[in-house]
Amino acid sequence: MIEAKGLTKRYGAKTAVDDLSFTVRPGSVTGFLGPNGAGKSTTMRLLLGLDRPTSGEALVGGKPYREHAAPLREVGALLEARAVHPGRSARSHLLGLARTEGIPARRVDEVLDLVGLTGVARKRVGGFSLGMGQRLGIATALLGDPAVVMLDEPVNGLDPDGVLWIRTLLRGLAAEGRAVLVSSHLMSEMAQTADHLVVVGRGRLLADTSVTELTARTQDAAVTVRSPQAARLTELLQDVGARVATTDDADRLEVHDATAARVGEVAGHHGVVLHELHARTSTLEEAYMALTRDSREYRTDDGDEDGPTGTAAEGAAP
Amino acid sequence: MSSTSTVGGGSPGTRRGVAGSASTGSGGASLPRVVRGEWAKLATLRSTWVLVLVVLVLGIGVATLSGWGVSQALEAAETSGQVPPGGPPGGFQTGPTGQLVPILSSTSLAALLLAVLGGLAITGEYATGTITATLTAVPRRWPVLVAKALVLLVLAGVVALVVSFAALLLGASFFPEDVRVGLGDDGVLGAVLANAAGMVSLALLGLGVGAVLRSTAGTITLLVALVFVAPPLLPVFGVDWLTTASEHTPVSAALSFAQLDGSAPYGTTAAVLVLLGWALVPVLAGLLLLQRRDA
Repeated sequence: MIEAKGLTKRYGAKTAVDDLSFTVRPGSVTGFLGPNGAGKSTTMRLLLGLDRPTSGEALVGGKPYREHAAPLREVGALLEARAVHPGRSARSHLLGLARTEGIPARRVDEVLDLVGLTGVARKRVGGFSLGMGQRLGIATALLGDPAVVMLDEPVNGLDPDGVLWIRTLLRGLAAEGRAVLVSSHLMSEMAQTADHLVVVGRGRLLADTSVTELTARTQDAAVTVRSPQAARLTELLQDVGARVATTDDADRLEVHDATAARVGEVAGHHGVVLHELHARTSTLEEAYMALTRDSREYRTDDGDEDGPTGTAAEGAAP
Repeated sequence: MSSTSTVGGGSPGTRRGVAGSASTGSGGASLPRVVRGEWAKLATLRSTWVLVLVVLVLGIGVATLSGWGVSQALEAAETSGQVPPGGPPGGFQTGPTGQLVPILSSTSLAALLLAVLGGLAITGEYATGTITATLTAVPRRWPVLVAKALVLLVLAGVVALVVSFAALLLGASFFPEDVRVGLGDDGVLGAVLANAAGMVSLALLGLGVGAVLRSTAGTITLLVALVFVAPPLLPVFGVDWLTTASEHTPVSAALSFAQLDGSAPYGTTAAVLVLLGWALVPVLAGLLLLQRRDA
């Protein structure tokens, strides 16, 4: 269980996290979404006590992280991949951390096996690929068999196989009753993994909702219909209470407040020919883009150094 | 490649439940455990052992050469009749100080490298980002630096003692038996131990400076300035307080124990305090900043 209560972090004049409150519950995967530079990593650092909040409170398992007697058993975190001394082997890195809480070497081998690094356990980390670094970071996070797992952009640098593995792993961790918080700037990734979503932009909370709710809330129930008898169809649809909008294409109409089935029935009943009929539902990706549009535009216009990466996030939109 | 295929089918099925996992042991993070962790970290870096080896070779080697050089010069001066027996003219002293000072002061390069070892123990974590994992494992923070100091104290202590004793024994071996200093002579054991203490003090100073600056380059620069640049440079200006400052550097303080002829600028108590100050104040400053700053 993670509770952020009015978390705020300012670096000089820049506010990285702005009055952020949310809860991450055990037994589910919470996706922490936002464009690059939205304050996701900073929030995670605040939750772990690495940075001190300017105001507000971050509680993990009911108290500030640093007050836990056995912190590795409470929270497992992956913040930066490859934040490991390149001269040390993967096993030595994990052992050094394990020793601080009396975690036996057996557990180190166990997590190395779990992330598939057993074969390179004694190789120096300097020679690891980004994906291997990610796996080592995840092994680090799981070392203490923690109640809370916090991963910052875990799929970065992983091949499709690895992405699938992470997804399965996260679902499994949540199924075991752990609270899982995973950040990403890609909705497409979270849509397949998360149960709950915390969306942030420019440090502020934009949405705290379940995946299904967000889909429903932002679903644009428009029906697109194409007919050589568009004018006639418009009248008929308006008679049954639908709102009809014309498009650039004279034959094409956009219908609101009526289902595709209803449109079809009306047309069939009156013998109107249809060339095309489909219900257009917005994807989660679109919902997310709509939510974060302001914060992204601000960043890009601002010439902020996060600009290029913000653009990359946009590039992922359909 | 093999790791990828292993993982593809990997499932979290091997994981234990949240509570009471049999495989993760029990109990929390205590200082002895953090010390064990820090030792594991220091000992698993190749750079640690390379530095230790260099310190041993360089410390003992340069001191030995220095002893040989001084004994040769002394012999040459004696044969040419420049040095009356027992007298200091010509810049050479045949007494214990004349042997101890050049031999022991030759270990200062090794001492500097021990300081670098101390600095790297913490700046290496900042440079590589390991500090995040370290402070996540030990969020109370202070045990990390205290543990590093304790581990360093032991490692640097052993190395410094080996270097100091070997330096004296090998360095003095070139002097004629009748004048050669030995550990049994008055004050010699103290001088050798003080030299080792000076080296350890520098190692801790390196750790402290590293904890404050959090940058390898900055730490090494400051250490070089303190060990090699300041002592000869400061007195050049002829300003009293600068000269006094140069006499209070860690190397000068350690060397004051070797000045058995009474040329030391201050007594042993003051020298011990100077060494303790260099060892402890920067580490304490580092502790304070570690607790207060964002990681």
